Amino acid sequence: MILEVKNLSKSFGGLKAIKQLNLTVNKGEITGLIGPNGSGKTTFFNVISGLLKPDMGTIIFDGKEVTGLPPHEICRSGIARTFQLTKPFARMPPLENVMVGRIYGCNPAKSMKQAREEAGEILRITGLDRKHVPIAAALGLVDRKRLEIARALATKPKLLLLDEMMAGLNSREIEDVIKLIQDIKDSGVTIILVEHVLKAVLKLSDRIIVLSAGEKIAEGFPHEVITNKKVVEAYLGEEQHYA
Amino acid sequence: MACLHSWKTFLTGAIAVVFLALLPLLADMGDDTMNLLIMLFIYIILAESWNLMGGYTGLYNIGMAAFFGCGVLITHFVLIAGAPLYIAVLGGAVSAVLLAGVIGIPTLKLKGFYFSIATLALAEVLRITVGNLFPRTVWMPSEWFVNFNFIPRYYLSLGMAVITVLIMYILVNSKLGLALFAIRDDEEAAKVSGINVFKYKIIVFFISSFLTGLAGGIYTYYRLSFLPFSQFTPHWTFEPLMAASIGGAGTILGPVLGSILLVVIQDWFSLNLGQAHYIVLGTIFILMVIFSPGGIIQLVNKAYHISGLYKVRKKRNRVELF
Repeated sequence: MILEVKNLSKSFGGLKAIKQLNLTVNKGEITGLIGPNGSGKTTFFNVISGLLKPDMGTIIFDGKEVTGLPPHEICRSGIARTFQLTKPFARMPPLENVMVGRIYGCNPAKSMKQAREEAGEILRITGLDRKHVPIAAALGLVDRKRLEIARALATKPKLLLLDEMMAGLNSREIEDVIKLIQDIKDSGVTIILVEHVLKAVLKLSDRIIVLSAGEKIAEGFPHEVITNKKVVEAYLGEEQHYA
Repeated sequence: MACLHSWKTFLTGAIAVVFLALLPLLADMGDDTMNLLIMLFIYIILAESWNLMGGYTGLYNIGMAAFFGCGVLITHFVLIAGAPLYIAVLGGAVSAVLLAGVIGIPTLKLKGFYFSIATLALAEVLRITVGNLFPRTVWMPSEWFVNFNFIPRYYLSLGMAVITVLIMYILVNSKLGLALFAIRDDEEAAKVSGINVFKYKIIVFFISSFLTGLAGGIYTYYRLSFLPFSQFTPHWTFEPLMAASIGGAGTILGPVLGSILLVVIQDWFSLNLGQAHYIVLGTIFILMVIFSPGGIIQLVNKAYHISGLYKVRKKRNRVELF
């Protein structure tokens, strides 16, 4: 168990985005986090990565409590994330985007030179090494998503939070990203995957947790979860019986 | 993006510096040229220190006058008290840093433009306060005027301008520089990549204010007498800002080019237009923002591309700075 979340709550004014959430993530697994729009998935990521402070509850990562720490400390303790709406360092070249993670993340590179080499290697793993663009703003959507992953990997995380990597990609690109995520898992990184593309979640996840309106409504192996009555209701609405 | 070969730029820069250093030895330049060059060097320091925040970190300091004026005043009074020059100038720079701490620590934690507003307000508050405290022109003792010599002032300002440009070069190629660019481009992404955003903003604000205060100290040493509040007028904020932006904010050479243009324009129009040179400068600034947001540097690069001198270098993976 690498991440343990107890009684986590977060509200925005009167809106309870996350209510009393309890969940655990096993080391080395891919945990799929699914749910309809507005069910609190991205808020959950924002709280875990420290961009938002939880109202209540505790987050225990790798045996240490990280609740309420600032984002850079959470990053250095080994949690990295990507953003659904990609946030590249637009005016820097892709290589320097990745170097940021290498220099300021977990066990940082000693020198700029070492960071440059290691960042180059990460670009190769994520399939960006052939993109000769002067600045990251010149990358297309799929490459920006790859860059998000590359920058997150560069911080040498133990836990990687992937926020809707597949959104907006075509089926060929989705295949590529699935393979990339599988490779990252094989390298020993635990992953939480927020995703709407169910095909990808089912293929990748070892376990799935379903959120609806900020609450956990189901969890288990992929195929038992998607046939769960509550989950179907959350996505499609309750079955109506007409007399 | 810029594309001049950096070693060529370095060589040109080194030749220019050597030339400027030898100039007073080779020829008697006359007071006008001396005044012009000393002001140019002071503007280069100011424009670069604005550039460090506005161009590289995305923090818009629109109250530089506060830190410049602080450097000017403190240096003046420390000099009057009889301290040696280097102590006085350093004192001016350090007091500017203290001022930066006072305004930076509460405002740099906030998102958005609070920092800009706070710096502008600080400069205006100081302008009025200083104007009330010291309503008359302050003077150095009379023997300073009798023994006035341009040469040490020329070398001090030239040396500091060169050191400033070198500091900028070292900073933007360092780990710190990487953090600054990241903060400029996306603060949230910088935070989750392990960067302590507040810490680096404060560091860069301190460095920038130190350089601004230093420029103020040199100005005091060069001017000998001045009206205290006039060092706090928005003039001292917006001329460096315009010099940096017209030249090319976010590049090292841009603010130098912008400062040269600024000083030359000031000089050309000072006889027939006086303070109305702002009209000319403002027009250039607006045209630049519309047609070439990257400043003169961007124009030069475009011309370079069109003329076909530019060769794509495949291994070029770093930010080009010149």
